[in-house]
Amino acid sequence: MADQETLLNLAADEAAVAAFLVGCGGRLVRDEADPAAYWLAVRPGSATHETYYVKVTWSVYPGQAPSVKFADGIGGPVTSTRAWPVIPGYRPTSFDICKPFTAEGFALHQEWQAGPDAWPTEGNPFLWVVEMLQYDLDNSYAGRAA
Amino acid sequence: MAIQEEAGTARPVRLITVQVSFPVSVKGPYRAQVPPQDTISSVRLAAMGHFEVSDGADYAYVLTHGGRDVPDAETVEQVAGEKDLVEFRLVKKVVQG
Repeated sequence: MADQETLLNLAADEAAVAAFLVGCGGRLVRDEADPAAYWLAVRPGSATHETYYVKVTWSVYPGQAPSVKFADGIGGPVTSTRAWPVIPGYRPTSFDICKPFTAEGFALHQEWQAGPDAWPTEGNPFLWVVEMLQYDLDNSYAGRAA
Repeated sequence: MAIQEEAGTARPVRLITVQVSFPVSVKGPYRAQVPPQDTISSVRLAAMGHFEVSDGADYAYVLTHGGRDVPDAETVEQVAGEKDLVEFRLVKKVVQG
């Protein structure tokens, strides 16, 4: 469970994330059981009939990258390959995103811990992660994973 | 802002306000007034200077508008149309994975 400082920092930043998602036709929902976990409903700009559900779980905010997983629905399991979009760096069969904005990516690539790929802790990293997800959906989306 | 024509009358010169946001910075948005024919490249580079970031071997910073990746060669006017203010987001485009 995340500490109180993390929860306070998330509470300060989540409004900007929610506003961004609404502007993109999506929405933000806080998890009912874990206050440091959020669910996103997001849509690719080229396929607005498709909705993807993303679970973003923070352990320390803003100090560490979150776990990012796609699910069949809000509150659903995060173990379905069909829940994932086809985007370079997104790995539906491994249930991870191999990019330097997820906990899974940093676990796979220790070299990202320092240098230009290091996790940013200033400003609103929650919004930064969500903007990157939406950017990939809008500009690199190639359909739903089989 | 205006310039003098040969006949001595003032002709208004159009400037477009550009605003670029970048979430992981303690600085506020980058704002500038630029001529319509300025390229997106020039705005992108100025914003990157403001936010103190630079492109790397495995990533590049791009400007998005309405979710769209705006090519460097486009002009501010092409994006703004008739509007006097155009807002961009600076996004780190990561190519590795």
